[in-house]
Amino acid sequence: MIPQLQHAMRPEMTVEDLARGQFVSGLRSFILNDLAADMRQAYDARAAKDFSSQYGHEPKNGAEVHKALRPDPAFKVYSAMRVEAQRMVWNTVGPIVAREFDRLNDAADSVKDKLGNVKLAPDFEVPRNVSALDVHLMPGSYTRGGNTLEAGAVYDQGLAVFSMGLMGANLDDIGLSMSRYISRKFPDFQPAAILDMGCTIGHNTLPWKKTYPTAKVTAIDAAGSVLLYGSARAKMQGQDIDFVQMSADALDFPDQSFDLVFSSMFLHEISTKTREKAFAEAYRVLKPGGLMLHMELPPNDQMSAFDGFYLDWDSWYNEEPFYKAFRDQDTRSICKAAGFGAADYLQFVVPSIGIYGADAIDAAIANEEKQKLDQSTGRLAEGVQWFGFGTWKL
Amino acid sequence: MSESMKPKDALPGIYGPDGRPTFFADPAMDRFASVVLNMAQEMWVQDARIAALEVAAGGSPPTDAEREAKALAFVHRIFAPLREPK
Repeated sequence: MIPQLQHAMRPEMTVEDLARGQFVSGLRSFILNDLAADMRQAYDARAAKDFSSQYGHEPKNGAEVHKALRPDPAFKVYSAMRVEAQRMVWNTVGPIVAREFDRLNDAADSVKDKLGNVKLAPDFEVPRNVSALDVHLMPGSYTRGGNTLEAGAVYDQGLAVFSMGLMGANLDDIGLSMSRYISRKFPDFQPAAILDMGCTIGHNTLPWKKTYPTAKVTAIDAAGSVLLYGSARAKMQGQDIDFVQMSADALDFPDQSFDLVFSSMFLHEISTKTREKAFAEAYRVLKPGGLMLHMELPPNDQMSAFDGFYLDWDSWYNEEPFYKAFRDQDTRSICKAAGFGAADYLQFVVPSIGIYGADAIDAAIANEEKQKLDQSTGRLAEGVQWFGFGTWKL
Repeated sequence: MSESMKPKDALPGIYGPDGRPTFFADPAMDRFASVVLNMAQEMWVQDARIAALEVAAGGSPPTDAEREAKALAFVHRIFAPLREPK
């Protein structure tokens, strides 16, 4: 529960600012741990039985669990509280960013000549999955404030409150955990060129540069505003990253130009059609021997009906309408359809490096046959762990 | 959220006329939930201000961990009635 970022590109916080963030983090912890446990209890004790009485079978998938739980008071309490707590995240950080905006601009300006570039595309049309949604209920989402630092600053600060400290002090736990896993699991793999697709503010891009310091790292996103902020944020941390405005389904890079194509929490925010094109593009720009790797929510067909529903809640109620459609897909099949070999597929679960330490990741590599997917996989609550999948281009 | 962007498999009636999710039979209850949360947050802000004044008056400052534990205890105390009976 640490709502204060630890990097230089952060607002100065008053006692009241910190208290507001601390309250929302504590509230979210209560909802995601205690009220979530209550909802599970209510499902077992009431909702599943009522559904069975009505339909002659227990709920078979997440959609049926949703149908079973929807009238239950425990679901109503959990969901109403979660939606309101989510709105509070943005209501809490928006005024802080507005107050600190000039100072953040000055800070960004002071590092503009440092290593790393940001390149926006003036005629680029931001796709509707970005421009027409308040993703995560964030007003204005990734394009809030136009091409200024606003969207990135609100997202960064909001994510710090939202994540309750479980994404690390600089929100880079996913990137740190995944890059540690790859570097230990495949020590001979030394990527010279890395692409992060859908990077937003680059919080999970930076760990790849730290893990492979000689690699040229490029991060793309369809929203220019978050790239402006992400570039300043990276420069302040001394990281040489190129941020470029571009869609993952139309990469403006030559064939075979990257060794690693990565994304984190990105695929569930794009449509099925866009996702399929993005995978085909990843295949095209990867060199032979390269790796496509995604950190995501685990697929529904590898989880129980309840756990699947629990993760899909965001699709219905957190303005992430493509979330469930992605989780309903077979990840191996998407890779294969893009041209990758079925035998070259990999998937794994990584313990959070910030919570469990680097040694836990090494232990997970040594005991991969014991890995198990459940509702703690990919979700911010006690016991968090990250799900990864991908494939080699051989 | 506009009609065209809603998830395809959403159950009927889960969004209000403004496109926002609804959970209770009376839509006023959904709005009331946000009032309760806002009030609780403001109470915690006042607690933080008092704590800051106590430090300014010579009291010993709490550690971050102590403040976080106190915030969590506050949330649990305020929202305890929402818990399912065991």
